Amino acid sequence: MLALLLFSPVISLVVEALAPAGELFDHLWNTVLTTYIVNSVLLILGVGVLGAILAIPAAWVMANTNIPGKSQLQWLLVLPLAMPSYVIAYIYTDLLEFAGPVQRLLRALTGWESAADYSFPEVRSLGGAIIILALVLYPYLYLLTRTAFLEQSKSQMLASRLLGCSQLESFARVTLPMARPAIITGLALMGMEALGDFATVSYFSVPTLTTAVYDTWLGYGSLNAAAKISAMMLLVVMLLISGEKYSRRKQQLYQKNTGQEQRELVELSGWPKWLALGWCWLLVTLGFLLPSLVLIDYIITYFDTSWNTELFEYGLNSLLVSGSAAAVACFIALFLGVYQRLKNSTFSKIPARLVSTGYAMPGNVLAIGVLIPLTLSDHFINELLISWNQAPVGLIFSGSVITLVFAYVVRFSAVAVGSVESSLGRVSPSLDMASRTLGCNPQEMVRRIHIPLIRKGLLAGLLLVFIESMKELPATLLLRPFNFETLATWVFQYVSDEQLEYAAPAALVLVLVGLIPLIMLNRSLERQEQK
Amino acid sequence: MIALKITELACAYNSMSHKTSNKRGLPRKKTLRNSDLVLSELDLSIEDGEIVCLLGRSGCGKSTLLKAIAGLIQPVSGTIELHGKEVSSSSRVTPPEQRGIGMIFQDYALFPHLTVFDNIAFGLKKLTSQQIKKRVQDMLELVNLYGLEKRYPHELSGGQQQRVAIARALANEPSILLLDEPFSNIDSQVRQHLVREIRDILKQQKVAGLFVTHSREEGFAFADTIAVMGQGRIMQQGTAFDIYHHPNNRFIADFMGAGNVLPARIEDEFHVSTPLGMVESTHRLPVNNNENLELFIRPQMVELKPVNNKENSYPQASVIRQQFMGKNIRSEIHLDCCQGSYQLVSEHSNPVSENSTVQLNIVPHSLVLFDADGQVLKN
Repeated sequence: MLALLLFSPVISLVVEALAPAGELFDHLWNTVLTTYIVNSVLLILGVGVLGAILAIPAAWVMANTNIPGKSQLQWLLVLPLAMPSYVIAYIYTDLLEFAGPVQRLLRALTGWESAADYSFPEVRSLGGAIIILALVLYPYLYLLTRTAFLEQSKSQMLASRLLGCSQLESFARVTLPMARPAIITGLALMGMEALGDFATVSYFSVPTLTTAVYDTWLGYGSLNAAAKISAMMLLVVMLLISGEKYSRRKQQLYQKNTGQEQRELVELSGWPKWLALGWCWLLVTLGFLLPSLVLIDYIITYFDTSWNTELFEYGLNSLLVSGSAAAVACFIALFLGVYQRLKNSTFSKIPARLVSTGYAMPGNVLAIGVLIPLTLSDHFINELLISWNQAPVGLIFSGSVITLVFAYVVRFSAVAVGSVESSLGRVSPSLDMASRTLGCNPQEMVRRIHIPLIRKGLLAGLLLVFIESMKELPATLLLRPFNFETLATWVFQYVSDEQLEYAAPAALVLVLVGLIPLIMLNRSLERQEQK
Repeated sequence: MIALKITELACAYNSMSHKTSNKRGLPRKKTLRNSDLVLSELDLSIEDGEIVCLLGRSGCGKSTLLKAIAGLIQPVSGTIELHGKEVSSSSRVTPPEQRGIGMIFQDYALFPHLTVFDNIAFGLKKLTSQQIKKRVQDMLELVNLYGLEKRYPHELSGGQQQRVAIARALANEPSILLLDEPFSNIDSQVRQHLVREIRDILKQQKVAGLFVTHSREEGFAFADTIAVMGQGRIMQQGTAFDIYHHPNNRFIADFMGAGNVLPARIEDEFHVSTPLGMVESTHRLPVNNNENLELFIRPQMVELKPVNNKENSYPQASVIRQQFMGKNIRSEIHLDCCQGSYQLVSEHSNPVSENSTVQLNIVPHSLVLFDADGQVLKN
């Protein structure tokens, strides 16, 4: 029942999308929609290719060599994931535009005077968006590929060398193909994020399917057209997911690591060493260090104007909305997890799977999906009240914060469900049996055994949902009540107004909040490697 | 008094559910195919204070039976009685927390978030805190862990954890203790000692025990009687000696240890003819004309003698392989004689040289004969 409620956005989206096309959609279809689709596809492909170029070499270096500073670089390389793409996009535009420091320096060095004297690539373009998104999204691919490389057994590489392949050939014929499932999963994740990205493309004025959803709903007010475009995006997501599933279908065959052997690290020296070092540091600098420094610089320079009450007001908004979403999501996760464990049948797994579908949906697609059932229930309640001769209450769901919380819960409860499920999975079933034979009924067992044992997983889930909700932008933009700002929308507002300087503290808060899960992730990865 | 009595119990895989409500806890009326059944027509009874070992191959349903007794799964049919009180029947299933059963698990199932003290006190809900303290201290003393009550499970060795599990189960004063492969995670060096110690504790507390294992040695050391399980039923229950020397069928015979099988025919009440010649029985045999009998001989009953020209009555055979077993030597021998060739196993105390020729002698004993279906021939 609960699961169906959380799954309702997907259903209603599909139903609405299947409804006969309105005039607007036909119009869009005949004019600009093709460009949007082409742009979206190019964006996904571009981000994928560039991300692979950035991430795979870095992953190999981190897994197989011992360059100096490796233990730090290992986690520094993940940090760009914490950067909101629109912040980074703004900062690079600021640095590289005609009036920015880079071009000024160029002009000073060469004596060029106007834009006509030289050609400098335009940052605010599809190409720019690809570069920016690849810079913040490559860590997905990096993390998965590095883990895959680490899991590979040394003996397979050795076998290929003994069978007459050079080191490079072995990499191409053994190492890379064995890591293929991980690489494709990483690419699929990047593709999903790139497709769902709204802020960067909107700031760069690159029209894609995401901006189209936003425009059709907020600009033209057509839920039907928005749902149709959303359904198209959902189709792309499904394609990406099935591609990922397909690539994993034989994964069991790939992972045969006895776990006994010691890894043999390649000792790099000379120019390969410097190349590897330079490459990794370049990624860290461009993706995280430089933008953070610029942000801090903004804060210091514009401290007086930017450190204001709005920051706290919107911060509080973010805190409240994300906090309640996190609490609700964790409650649902606990409920579903325990239900699944007590029932322990094939059917009992379905609710958790249904709830988890929300995570794969791009934010704005989900927002449209959420709007449909909530608007319907608003109308239903108001009509009911009128029929009872009561005053209508107005849009109690779709026009209020409840919508936002609901959307966050639908989108991110998968994180909490996963976290609770995995920690419950580690609780041996014999503990259940032991507590039952010692005189506990099921409720007591959940209270005395399960909850204390999965406390950590529950907290982690709470924190992750909270953070994800804090950073969520596209759905928030579509669903927030009038004049309601969260930190994310506020920062984006300033980015769109070319005044990020004034919202720099809020942006930094978002970055710092985004760092928390990465630190947690790194910790757990390190613990895994030590085992 | 009978501690546990199981009558015609049947259990299926797909009813493995933790849910055991007593109001509507009836098994679903669903047509079950026979192949779905893990247990069928299973009968078992345990006397007060008796320790019974359920012995069987992995996957034969031993653990399922324990779970059914504890109420952790719902049987399809049959009844379970604990001290004369029916806890499971086709009309009513008592939930596990109301059965008063203690259970020990393969992974000990200690609660990792509780100290040793809290683990042992977990089920003691009706006592005052003074009584609880007293009971826990008594239990710790019983299992020889006095002074470790503040430790957490992960700070204990495997053997210590197992003892805490025993203390926790016994603290509740269960009417019967179920042990599910309790020693399989214990080092083989400490295992024997622990097996004896825990057996002594159960005997001292006069608790009936049902112990599941796939290891014969553990079963022999721990239990008073052995119940051999196979094909979802108890095939034979009795002392280890009895089952070893008088198995009910071929399956049990093989399961209890190696043996030699020879085609045989009953000649008269005390003699059987085999390819090795006449074999003598110390017990009266049922005379019949059945040609398709099998004689089952334990290796200890096959004697090897050096070839002696004067006595030609014994068949001769060559030794293929020898293995030193500690107390005995096990030899594989190859026998070529009139009706074909046979491989036999013998256990004896004096070494013979490999590839040498020896004479075989079957010691007269109470012979075990199986019919074509593998069932023992009874008088």
